[in-house]
Amino acid sequence: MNSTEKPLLEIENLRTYIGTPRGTVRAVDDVSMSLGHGEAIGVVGESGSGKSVLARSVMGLMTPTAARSGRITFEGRDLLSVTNKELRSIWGKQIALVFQDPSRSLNPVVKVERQLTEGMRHHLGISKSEARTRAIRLLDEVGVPDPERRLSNYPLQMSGGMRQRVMIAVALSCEPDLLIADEPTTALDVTIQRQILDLLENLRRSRGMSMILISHDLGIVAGRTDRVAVMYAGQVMEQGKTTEVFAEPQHRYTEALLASTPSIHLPRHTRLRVIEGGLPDTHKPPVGCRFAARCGFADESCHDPDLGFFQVPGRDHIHACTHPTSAVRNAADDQLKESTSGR
Amino acid sequence: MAGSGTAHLRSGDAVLRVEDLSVEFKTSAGTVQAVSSISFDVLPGETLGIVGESGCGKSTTGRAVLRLEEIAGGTVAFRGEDITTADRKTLRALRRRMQMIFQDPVGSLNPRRKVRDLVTEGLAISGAPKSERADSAVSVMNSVGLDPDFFADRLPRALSGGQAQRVAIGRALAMRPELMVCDEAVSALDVSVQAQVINLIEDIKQEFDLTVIFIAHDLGVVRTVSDRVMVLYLGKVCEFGEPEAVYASPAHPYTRALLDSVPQGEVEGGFSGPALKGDVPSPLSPPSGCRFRGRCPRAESRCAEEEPQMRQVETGQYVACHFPLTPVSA
Repeated sequence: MNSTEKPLLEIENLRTYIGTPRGTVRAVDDVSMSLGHGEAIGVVGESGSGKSVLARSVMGLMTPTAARSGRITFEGRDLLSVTNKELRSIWGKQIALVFQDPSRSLNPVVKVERQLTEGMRHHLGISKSEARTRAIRLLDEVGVPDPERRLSNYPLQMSGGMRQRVMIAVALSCEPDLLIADEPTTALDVTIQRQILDLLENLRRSRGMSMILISHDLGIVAGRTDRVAVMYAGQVMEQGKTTEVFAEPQHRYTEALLASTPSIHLPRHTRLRVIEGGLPDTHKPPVGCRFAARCGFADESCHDPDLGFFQVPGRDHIHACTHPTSAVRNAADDQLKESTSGR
Repeated sequence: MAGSGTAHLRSGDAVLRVEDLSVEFKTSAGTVQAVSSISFDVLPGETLGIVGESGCGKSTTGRAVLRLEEIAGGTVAFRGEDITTADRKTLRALRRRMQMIFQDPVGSLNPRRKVRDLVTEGLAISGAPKSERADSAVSVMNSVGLDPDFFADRLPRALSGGQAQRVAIGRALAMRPELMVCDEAVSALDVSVQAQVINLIEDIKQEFDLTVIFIAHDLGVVRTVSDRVMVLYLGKVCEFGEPEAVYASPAHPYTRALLDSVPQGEVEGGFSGPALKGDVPSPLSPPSGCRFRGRCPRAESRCAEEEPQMRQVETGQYVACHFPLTPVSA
């Protein structure tokens, strides 16, 4: 991202706390990130990392018991204070969302044509026939064969991969500036997943769209994003240029996560690196680094309540680890001020 | 392709020898051959990885090995005994020696039973006395890394996915099986937990002298656990061989395409090869000849006319393809 240009989306110290019968879950707890025009950022993490809640918080699509604080600025507008009416004009038209399961996000009893044209007619104010023409073009663009015939299909008449293409076409129909893809290929087979990832990449480039790609799969994010944020238990552990984060992970969590992923290049019966234990209690998260209890490098310094971010010298790469993989750093200089970075 | 043939079967004492196995499902739209003339064998102490996408028949194959699906054709021999013709009593005895682990760890456990009872469910059914069950529960829980003092009285809902999968593995182990069929046993787990369960399966395999069939869609997982790999497509075998050979120099165009579809962070653009076009055809009317031909970059007219048979290629693996990527050995 060009530093002089204003980012498209800026998330500052976002906290999304969800009320449950058992207490408040700190699903997203002080997360900051920004996204430039045309940029793709990946958000990776395991279950309970808060990555999906983060996406929904940007959209304003949380459960009713959730409360957000902090700031989300999209094209100069504060998304936390917009009215519902304004929000409706943003949804679909400026920010669109693609979910994991296309069979649940498409209406099963409505034909593809109406699901595709509804948003366009509402947001763009175009006629029915023009919307239809555009719908055919969109389906063609996302690689649905025989698009005209497909318009009269119900979602169940299509395969999972085709349905996800339709879902992407719906998301793109009003030419959003930002596409949030939440595990867009998790329900799909690898060869179809590949097709969908290629499609998203091509569309993003041809339309100059920004994208947030959320996934549990590090490999997916690695090849398809400019920058990446690694989340754990509601917080960002590490954030930076995707190539650098994967080539030289600094945070011990990122390192452990990469080492525990079985790769197609590993020798037979390789002993996988294990991360012992489980997620901390998100009702009462531990003070300091939330990964400390599972980390082999943890000591007292990890329980510092004011643990901030460290910057890798000369790089767009920050991490919150007091025992990073490259221990060479100047702690005093690198400690970013809490006020500028948050976490 | 996706073809038939038995050239890849090995001589010697296989724990399991499957020949020309077919499984059919009747649907309102016609009969689906979910598994069509598949052959494979698993030698003692070996892990056979079965990999493929949805609808390739990998889970059906695993279930058919225990005769949990009706077998339409072919033979499944466990330690030389044909289970397809076994009577109920023999089948029950045989099934004790073959245990299965499923994908959904919590869903495969009775929600009302405590862990100590869950792990010995099989023993109770086979009539083991209470005292023996209690001892077995403790030893099995220790084997799968669940502290008996802490977990014995817990119910499944109080377990994480990884812990529940440990219970499922413990329950299988309590029967002292010879063969364990793991059907997507780690697919529902997060990577860090997945690694724990994979390592556990490797450990108990050594400790209890197990032979394993490991069914998964994740090519990375299959590579790490397997001694032999079998790639399926639409109910047919494409390729069979040692993981090093199959992954480094796949002979079947489908295997190549599968590997090229695995996202790889270290590769520029994220993938090491071109994308596969199209979608899997309907299993109700599979293509003639090679079932993969419609999506295959190397397909020629012969692929439509003639079903390829398994042949050995120079790199040592077996492939069912008329135009394999590595030359066929003389």
